[in-house]
Amino acid sequence: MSHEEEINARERLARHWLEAEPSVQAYVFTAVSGFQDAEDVLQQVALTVARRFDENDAMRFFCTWAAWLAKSRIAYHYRKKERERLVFSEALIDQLAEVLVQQQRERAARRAALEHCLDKLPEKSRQILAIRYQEDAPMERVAEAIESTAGAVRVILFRIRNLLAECRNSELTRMTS
Amino acid sequence: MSDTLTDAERQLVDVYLDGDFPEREYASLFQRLETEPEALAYLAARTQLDVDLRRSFKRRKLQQLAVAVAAKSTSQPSMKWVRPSGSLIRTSLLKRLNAATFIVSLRIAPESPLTLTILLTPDVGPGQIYWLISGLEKPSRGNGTVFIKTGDQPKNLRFASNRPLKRAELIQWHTLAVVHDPANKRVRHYLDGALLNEKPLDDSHPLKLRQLVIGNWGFTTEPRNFVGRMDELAVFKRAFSDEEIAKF
Repeated sequence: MSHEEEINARERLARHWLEAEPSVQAYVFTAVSGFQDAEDVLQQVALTVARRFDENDAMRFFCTWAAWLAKSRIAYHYRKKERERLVFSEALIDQLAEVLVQQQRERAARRAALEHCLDKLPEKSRQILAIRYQEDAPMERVAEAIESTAGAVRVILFRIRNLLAECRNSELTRMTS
Repeated sequence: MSDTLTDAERQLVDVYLDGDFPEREYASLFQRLETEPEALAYLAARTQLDVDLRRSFKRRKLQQLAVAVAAKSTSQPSMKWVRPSGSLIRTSLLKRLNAATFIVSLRIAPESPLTLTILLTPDVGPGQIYWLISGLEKPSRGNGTVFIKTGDQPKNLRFASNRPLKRAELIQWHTLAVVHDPANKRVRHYLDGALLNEKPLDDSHPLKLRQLVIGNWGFTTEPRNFVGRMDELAVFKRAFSDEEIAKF
C-alpha cells in the first residue's frame, strides 16, 4: 500500500468508526456490566478495528463488522474474568447487536432531541446527572454529594431517565411529523 | 417503553446498566429479555439513552474545561495553582495489589480547602483507596492529618497519621508516603522519609488500583480537589521498609 493509499484508508476508517462507535459503545455497555470494564472492552474493540480494518475492504457493513468484533472481545472479557459475570446468552448478544445497529440510523436526531430535553430539566436533576455521568461517580458518591442514600439516588436517576426518555420520544415524533 | 416489563424490572435494567449485579434478581429478567423482543428493545433503548447521556456530559465537561483554560491566562492569573474545575487526571495500573507503597512530593496552595485529595480510585468498596489530607485548620479539630482508606468501612479500614499537619507547613515542598503492608499487618505513614506512625491492619483486602484519579474528588458541594502542586507521584507493588522510604 502506498503512503497516499494508506492515508486514504485511515481516513475511511476514522469516518466509519466515528459513525459506528456510538452503536458499538451501546452494545458493549449493555453486555458488560460496570462502566470501567465496559470502557476497557470498548478500547480493545477500537484497537482491534484499527488493526484489522484491511479485512473489511468495502466498508459497506462496517457497523455490523465492528459489532461482530465487539462480540468476540466481550466473550474474551468474560473468559478472562472466569465467567463471573456472564449473563447474556450468545443468542441474546446477537439479537442485541442487531437492534443497536438498526438504531444507528436515528443517532443524530436522537442526540439533538436529548440535548433539547436536558435543557428542560430542573437544575437539581441536571446536577445529579452531571455528577453521575460527567465525573463517572458511583452511586455512593452521588449520594454523598446530594446528602442522600445510594438507594434513593437510584430511584431519582430512574425517574430522571424516564422523564428524558419520554421527552425525547415526543421530541422525535414532533421532529418527524 | 415496554409494557411487558414491570416498573420494578425496568428499574432493575437501570441498576444493571449502572454496574451493579445482584445475580439472583436478574435471572428472571434476562429470561424475559431472551424471549420477549419488546423487553430486549427496552434494554437497547435504555442503553442508548445511557450512552447518549454519557456523551452529552463528556462534551459539556470539555466545554467547561476549554473555558477554564481560556480564562486562565487573562482574568485569573492565580489559576496556575489551581487545576481547572472538572479536569480529571487518571491513570491505569495493575489490577490488584496485596502490598503497595505510595509516594508523592507536594506543596499545597495557601487557599486550599480543608480536605485535599491526593489519589483515589473512582469506585467504592473493599480494596478501593482514598489517600487524602483532611481537616486542615478546622477550628473544631485543630490541625489536619493525612489518611488513607482502603475500603468502605471507616472504622477498620481508615488509617490516619497521628502527627498534625499544618497548612503553613504544607505550602512548602514535602514528601508523603504510605505503605500498605499486609504481611506485617501494618499501614505506615511517612513525612519526608520519617515515620509518622503506624496502624494495625487486621482486615486487609487486595488493593484494586486499576483506575486511579489524581488530585480530583470531583464534587462541588464540599471542595476536596487538590489545590497546589504535585510531583513524582509513584506507586510500588510492594511494601517499602523504613530504610527504603528514607533513601527514596
